[in-house]
Amino acid sequence: MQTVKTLLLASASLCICSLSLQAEVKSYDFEDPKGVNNVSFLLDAPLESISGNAKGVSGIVTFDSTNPEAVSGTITIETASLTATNNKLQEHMLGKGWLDAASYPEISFVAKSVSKVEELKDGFKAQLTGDFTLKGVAKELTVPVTFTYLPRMLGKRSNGAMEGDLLVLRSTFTINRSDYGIKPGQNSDKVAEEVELRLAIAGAAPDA
Amino acid sequence: MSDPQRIRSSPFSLILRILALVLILAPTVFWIFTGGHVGFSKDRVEIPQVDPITQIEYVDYEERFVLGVEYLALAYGLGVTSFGLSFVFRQKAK
Repeated sequence: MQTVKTLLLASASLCICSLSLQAEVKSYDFEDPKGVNNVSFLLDAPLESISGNAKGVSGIVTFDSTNPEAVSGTITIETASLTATNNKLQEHMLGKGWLDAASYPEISFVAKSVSKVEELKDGFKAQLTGDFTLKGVAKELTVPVTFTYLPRMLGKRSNGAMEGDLLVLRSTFTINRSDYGIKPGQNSDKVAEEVELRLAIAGAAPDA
Repeated sequence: MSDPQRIRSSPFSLILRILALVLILAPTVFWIFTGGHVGFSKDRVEIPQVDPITQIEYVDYEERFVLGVEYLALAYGLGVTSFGLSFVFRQKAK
């Protein structure tokens, strides 16, 4: 009888344990109606650097705060949401010769694996490897990413409309435009080959 | 010893000189007034913001025209050309 009791207790505690571990794995939605999530780009040019911003960010990332190496998901940026401060520049950038937003409406990053995880005060720092797709060309990239986990902060952000957690991702990395078929080897005297991308996005995981 | 022939400006050359002055001064004043931006013109201006909860830095855009140096260069070029042309339309004094 004592053995049965012990077995029952052990299986119950195992169930609770696995449930609590399961509860740490959450899917974060990066669609942002507040217009805060953004990816900025910066590239050198002779008179002044060209910079701009994209706010059409969406995607789902699954993150386990107790096991950050298990992160997976996709972040997508709407190409047409790329904004520059000059209308003519923006028209050229989104036009057929450069990003061709009409034919390639999305820029995406699909996370495949995480390495070199370092714990921080409120999250993790890691190297994230995934497929970055720009203008229809997919290339594997490894980029540094900071995961900031903000438990129970969704309520504060949504003024009490929803309760849940927030996950903030930050990353800065450089790509070469020629690698993605964007005027390869051309116009290098006017626009640099290297483009710096800075990503700062927050995803929400509302309580079920 | 003969007197050198005097050359005086025609009304048209005076107009060209005034035009040159306007072409140089007006854009300069407007450029200074809109912030003296040393770069190409902007159709919108970035306003940096910080989200208070996530601390994410982002920008909002204000639709406002900022004059750039390419328009200044064009105006100066036209101004200098206008000033130069004013010497073509001089009249000899009788």
